[in-house]
Amino acid sequence: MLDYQRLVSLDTLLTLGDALAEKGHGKQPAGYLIQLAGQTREFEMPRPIFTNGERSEWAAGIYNNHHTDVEMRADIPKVLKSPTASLVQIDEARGELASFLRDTLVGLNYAYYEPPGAQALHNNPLFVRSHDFAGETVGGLKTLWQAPELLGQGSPAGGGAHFVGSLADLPYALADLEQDFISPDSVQALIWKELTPELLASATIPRWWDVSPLELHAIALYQRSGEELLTASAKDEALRNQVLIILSTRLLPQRSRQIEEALRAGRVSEMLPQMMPADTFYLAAEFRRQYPAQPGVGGSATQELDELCRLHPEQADWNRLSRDFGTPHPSLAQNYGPELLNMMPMPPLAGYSSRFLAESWDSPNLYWARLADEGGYSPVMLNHFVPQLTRKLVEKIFATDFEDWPELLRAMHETGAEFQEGKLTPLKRGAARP
Amino acid sequence: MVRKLLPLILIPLGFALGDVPDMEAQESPDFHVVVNMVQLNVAVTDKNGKYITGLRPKDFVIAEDGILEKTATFAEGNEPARSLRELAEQDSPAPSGDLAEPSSDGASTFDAQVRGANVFVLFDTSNYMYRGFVFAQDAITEFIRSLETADRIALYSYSRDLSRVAPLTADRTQVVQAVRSTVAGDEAALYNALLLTLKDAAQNTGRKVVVVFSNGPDNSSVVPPEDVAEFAQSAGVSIYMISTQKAKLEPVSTAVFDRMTAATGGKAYFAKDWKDEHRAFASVRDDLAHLYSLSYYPKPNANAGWRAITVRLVGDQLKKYKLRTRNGYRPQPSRFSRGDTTASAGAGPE
Repeated sequence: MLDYQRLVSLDTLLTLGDALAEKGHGKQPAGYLIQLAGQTREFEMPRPIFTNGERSEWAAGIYNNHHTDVEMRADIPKVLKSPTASLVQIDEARGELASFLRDTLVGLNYAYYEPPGAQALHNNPLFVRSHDFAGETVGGLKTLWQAPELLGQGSPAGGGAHFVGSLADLPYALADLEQDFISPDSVQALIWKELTPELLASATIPRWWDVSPLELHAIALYQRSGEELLTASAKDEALRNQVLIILSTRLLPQRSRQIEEALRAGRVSEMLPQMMPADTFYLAAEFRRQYPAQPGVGGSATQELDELCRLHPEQADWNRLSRDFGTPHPSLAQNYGPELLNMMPMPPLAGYSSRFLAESWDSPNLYWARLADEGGYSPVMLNHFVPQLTRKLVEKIFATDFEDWPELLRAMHETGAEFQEGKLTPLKRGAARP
Repeated sequence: MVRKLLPLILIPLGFALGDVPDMEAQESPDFHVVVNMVQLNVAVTDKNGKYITGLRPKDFVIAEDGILEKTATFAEGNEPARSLRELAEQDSPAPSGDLAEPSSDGASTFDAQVRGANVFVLFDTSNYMYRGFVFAQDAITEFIRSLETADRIALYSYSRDLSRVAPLTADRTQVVQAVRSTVAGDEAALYNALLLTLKDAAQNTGRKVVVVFSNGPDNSSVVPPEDVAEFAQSAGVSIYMISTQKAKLEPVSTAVFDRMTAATGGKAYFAKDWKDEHRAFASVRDDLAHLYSLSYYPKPNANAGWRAITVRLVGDQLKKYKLRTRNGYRPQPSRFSRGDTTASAGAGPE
């Protein structure tokens, strides 16, 4: 992304800053430094389609590239090369580097939270440069340094959209920006806007560099153990009551009734695929917490989980797993720290609160982690897989109403199946496993 | 076939800027630039707009930033592109002045001539299309049917997002059925969708064109038309836009349609309405059938920014004709394209 935005590297900028400082003390820069300074002049504006007059008429108040214009006029190599450059000129040149430094720092933030398959970030080289912290490109803005707002969307003469505001909530803002570049397999679902940005942000904020293979395995075991508990509860009324009470704290009443009926009727194989991974995960974890005297209820996964918890309790600790495999809830929890909230699905409400809907869905990252564990992948590979898989999931969503959770599950399972068939990633199994 | 054998080339013009060189005396920036073979689709017409056929490679002069380039491959209409050596061996070239008559371009000759093109049709299914939607579907269907022997056709539709309704295929029935499956509604993000379509088109070898059916306004894109046009130019994809006179009421779209298509070597048409677009369709078909395909490998060029391409005809008899092709491209310095070998200068062979 930094390359596509034609940003100058931090190393280069710092080196040039030092070179100018030394020049101010009378030391002439080496030739390679002058050459390096050429990077500040590499960027070119896109070939214009509109005249300045047309832009003034058709994009008044939107098109403003003052910041980029200043950069285009800066000639750092000339100052470095000139044997007669004055101290004032050298100081000015150093000051001009600040403009490039700003862009690179902003760009690094953008790059860190780049949504999978981003297009605007890769095709509009003005996008980072146009980030407007102070609202200079728009009149009448009353609130500055708030979460970034997208300006210039749908204004062809405006030079492309850009953000106005701070970098707060940047992951969501970038996901919101890029969501319409995802081409759905079917037509865009009704709940697209309520779901997609949050799902994408949930795939870009968490990182899995410090997750151990045992932790990853624990995630899979909790989900499988939950499924085993459900299976066992079909033939054990007491256990079924315990299971349903636990699930009732996460499921809507209608959904709880459906599960209860399915368990009573012995339709376990039909019901299990309809369970959300976050629900089975929670069921297993909560059952262990509430009924510690009932270890071994379930099957092989439950027994393996018991063993893991006994030998490596820290690796199977709920709080740790919640931190490493949860999703951010900036609206519900007022922070970006990933965690598993364990709550009922939230209804889709208008406006800002519509983010509650997606934030209450914690399943994808748990499911991707299970797939990675069962596929023999190293946990660090989640950094590669999760954005890809989440994007694919979004492409497959075709929910017909706001409460169409089964459709999300279908899209997730379909994506998982393609992953298991090796259709989604060229990487070999076991890649990067220590 | 020959084109598949042509390798991607790396033109080293010094050293990568990301490295700190041990050459303190050198003061002018040098660049590594990755440039694929540059492919040009060139339309040659007389003063009445009639296509000029029968031209040979030596009739064309290509220059990039004023540097004369050597033509690598050449083809006219439906011919497969061949290297100049092959042409010399297999052809008996007509002298420059011995040209075929300007074509009257009946539909009967079109089928044979358009073979080899990859045609991406991008259909506006936004709210702007509600009133003329069915007529537009009919028009597109007819257009697709008329491309009987074109190599492959894809149908994409767009509103707020892009829908790949029918992937690139030689199966006309599949594409026609896909036209009927489109539905109208939502905001219009033309330039977002056009960018994605161009990216898909750029993945293919051979001639590539995007034909856009749009009623005009864009109210949802986040990428500007400038970036889309540059991508098309760099990928060697010609854009044709077919719209209605209603679009002319919106000067922004009119300006973009005219200028973007011209910059990529395509054309813009503003039909009276969707029922009256036949002339526009016929014109697009004719254009596809009569394009000359020329390619070259750029000679060393220190310019890492925008490179202007000029193509002209040599000889007194030919100077009177008009040429239409893309007017340049922007190569990506290797610092910006490491690990990305997609066509950066257009139609890089596989």
